[in-house]
Amino acid sequence: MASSRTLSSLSPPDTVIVSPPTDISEALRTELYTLSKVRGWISAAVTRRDGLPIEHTFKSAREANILCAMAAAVVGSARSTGDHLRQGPFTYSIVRYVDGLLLVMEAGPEAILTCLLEHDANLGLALMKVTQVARRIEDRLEEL
Amino acid sequence: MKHWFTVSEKESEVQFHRVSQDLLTHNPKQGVNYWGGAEYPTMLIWAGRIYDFLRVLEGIVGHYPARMQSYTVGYTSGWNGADVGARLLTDAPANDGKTQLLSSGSGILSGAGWGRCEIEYDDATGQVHWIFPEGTAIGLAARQEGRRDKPACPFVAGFVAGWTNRSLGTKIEFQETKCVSMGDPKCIFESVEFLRPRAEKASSR
Repeated sequence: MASSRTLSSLSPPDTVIVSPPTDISEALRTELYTLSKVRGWISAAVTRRDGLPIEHTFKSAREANILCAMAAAVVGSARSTGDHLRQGPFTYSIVRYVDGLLLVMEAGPEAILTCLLEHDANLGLALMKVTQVARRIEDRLEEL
Repeated sequence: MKHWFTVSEKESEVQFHRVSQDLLTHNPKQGVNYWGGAEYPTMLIWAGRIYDFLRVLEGIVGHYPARMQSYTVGYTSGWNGADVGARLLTDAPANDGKTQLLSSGSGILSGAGWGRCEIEYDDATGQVHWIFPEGTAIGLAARQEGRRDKPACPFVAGFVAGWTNRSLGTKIEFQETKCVSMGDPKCIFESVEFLRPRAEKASSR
């Protein structure tokens, strides 16, 4: 059944992004905040396969929307490249910027987990933690 | 209460003259058309080129991100179309004009050559279906290039979502459940609470 949340006079970009059901939202928020224990953690987001945000810890929804769309494109293009080059399934992507690190990882068939870290974060530790959280997110989504 | 809006073949002809002729004005200095008094430049484009945007993007980022990009562009188009359409409503508005504005979408789409469609709206459940009995123009164009395993019309899914949300004041998304490019006899777009697209195969753990 479609929900019918009433809108005020919003512009199209404000309304194209629909909110997930509360149970999904709450379950994933809990998982995302466990990443905050990683030293150098800045923010994280879980996105749908198509790049629509499911849950995030960013202060700005706009930042999260852009990051989620890009994360889906990163995974999509990495998977396409892997298929073309016969390199097997995608595991994760690391983008190193001057001021930070971006980790992008699949969290099961439905979701993508992306995490923004400070440039001097412990990458090995962060990868281990992000992998654990990605698995839990996959399990939680399978339950819901 | 369930509402059903449809456009017969005869009405589609009438809508074509209204939408694609009467409401279209030409600025000869610019060589550009304008529609319905709106400030947006308007032009004819092959339906297959809209499909090409999806097809090319799919080849780079895969289906789901490409679908969402196409959906988002269609959404803005539908929202803006309904915005302009709201100014064109002449009858006395019932139900705050919401249902009337929603219903006008079918005439606009068939008159603009996007495909003749029916709209089903259940105001008790909020469920909305847009049905194109002969397919959308984009779906028909995609079909000419071979059968697809995924729908070809996320642009139209976004369009009907934008039109519906602007009309009814809702925030719902739409899914293409039937598509002529996949061998279905018609194209159907259904409102859903929250889509959960899944990758073709699970990643290795």
